[in-house]
Amino acid sequence: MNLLTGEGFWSPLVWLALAVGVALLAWWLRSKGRQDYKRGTEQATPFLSGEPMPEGVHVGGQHLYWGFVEALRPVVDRLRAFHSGVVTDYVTWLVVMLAVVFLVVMLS
Amino acid sequence: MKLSAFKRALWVYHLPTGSCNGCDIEIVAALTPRYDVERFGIMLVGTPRHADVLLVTGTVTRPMADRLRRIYEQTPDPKAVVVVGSCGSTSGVFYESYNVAGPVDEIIPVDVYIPGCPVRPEAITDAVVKAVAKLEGLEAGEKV
Repeated sequence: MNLLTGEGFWSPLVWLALAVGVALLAWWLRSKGRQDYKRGTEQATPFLSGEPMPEGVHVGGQHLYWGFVEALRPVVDRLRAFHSGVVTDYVTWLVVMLAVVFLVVMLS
Repeated sequence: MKLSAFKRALWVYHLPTGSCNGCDIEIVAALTPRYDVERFGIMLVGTPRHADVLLVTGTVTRPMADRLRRIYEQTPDPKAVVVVGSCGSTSGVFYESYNVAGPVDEIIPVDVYIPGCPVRPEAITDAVVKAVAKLEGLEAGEKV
């Protein structure tokens, strides 16, 4: 069941034991948190410096990359222009880039 | 007051509701090496969600009244509210001013008042200790 390589080995049982250990650690850390928040009250709402929680507000995933996007704005705008949303365009780009990679590999 | 030693660290959220910053500076002074309240485990936190004590400075201006009420409600129980300075206690020189919603106890329940303009760091420390005594009484199930 173990997979041996020149660099080490992989065992599903060891992997499972590690996963259980990490889960137990996460559960223990979570159990150390405060239990006295009252559900359904303001105590369970996000703290926005005292501002009311706006309806329907959520933080989109793209906000995580906001700094990168703003810093690379000229590059991002050019790359975005390529993204038409049409599948055939994507496939064309894939074929062209694969051809370029093959050419580079064959010539090197 | 039966308090002999803190059972755990006390986390404090500092909320200025219209202060001139005089009391806020004294709170900062209480954290400096001369007074160093952190050696007792008293430390400021950035959110009321983690706080045991709300430290409110200044009289309550009209825009801050709702926010003060909301922040009080967002603080987990048991909690204590300490009003720092004359403005928060009585509105001080801003008494019945057109843009003042009132002293803090007209908006939320207050446990400890610290008079002074501004207050001294020793008084802030003493008030927080009184708040701890109240919290420990609440946690022990006493009616305070």
